Amino acid sequence: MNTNETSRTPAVPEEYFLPPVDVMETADELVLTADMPGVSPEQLDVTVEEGVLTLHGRVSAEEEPASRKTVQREFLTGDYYRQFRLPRDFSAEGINASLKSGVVTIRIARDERSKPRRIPVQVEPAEAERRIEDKSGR
Amino acid sequence: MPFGRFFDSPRGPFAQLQREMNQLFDTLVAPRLAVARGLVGRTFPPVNVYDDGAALTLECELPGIDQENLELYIAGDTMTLKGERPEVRCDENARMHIRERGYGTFNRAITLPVDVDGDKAEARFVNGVLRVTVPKSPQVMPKQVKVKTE
Repeated sequence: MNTNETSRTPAVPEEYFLPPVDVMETADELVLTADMPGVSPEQLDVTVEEGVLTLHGRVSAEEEPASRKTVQREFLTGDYYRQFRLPRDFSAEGINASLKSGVVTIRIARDERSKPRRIPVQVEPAEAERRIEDKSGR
Repeated sequence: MPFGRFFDSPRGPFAQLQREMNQLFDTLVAPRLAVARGLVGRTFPPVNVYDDGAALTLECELPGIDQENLELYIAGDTMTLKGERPEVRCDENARMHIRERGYGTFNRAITLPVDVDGDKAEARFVNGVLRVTVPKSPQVMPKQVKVKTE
């Protein structure tokens, strides 16, 4: 057992927002895009453990001036947190994450072993001829 | 407007989200509060407006928008935001499994509580959040009147 296991597992925040995501699968990779406005690269944790991908973006509330009055509020700020179970043929080996303008892009490479392979099917000439003979003989 | 396009789809993000939420609660200790937050079916961009006495502060979530594609106008008591959010392109060799993020052009005018001095506005765009500070117009600021006695 790895004793570091527990310390590596990020704590689940008590309250959080589920960031909206787009997930696209291509022949080579899985591309996950998540909106996490307000998260800086230092505040973002992307972990994979036992086939579960975890996104955790920490957003610390800014200190507000005491005299401030809220006129209109259409969004709240707080941590972002969301988990995804990765399909078996995608592993943590080939994963990379980038953050730009509050959007996280995670690319997970497909395992080489599980990539579809085309298996050529050959029909032996002799076999083909025999079939034709069978048909004509009927 | 492509925003909200997936709102009604039974195979859309809400059904998917529901499944994921169920999964989430099955596998994790239920959090005190988990709020799904998407752009789909919401006014975009969301804006918070604060009154700081002599100035107004506006916060606006604009994830995935390039600074070059963002236009901000302030006139009188109206702030206008225009821009475009790019779509995750999916070619014929790719498959989209989840699509919850909205995309497309937006043009939103926000009415402020008072007239502001747009020339003195300062705007910063950091990590997908736009913060605008703009002083109130001198005309709306209270002026102290000297009271004279006869």
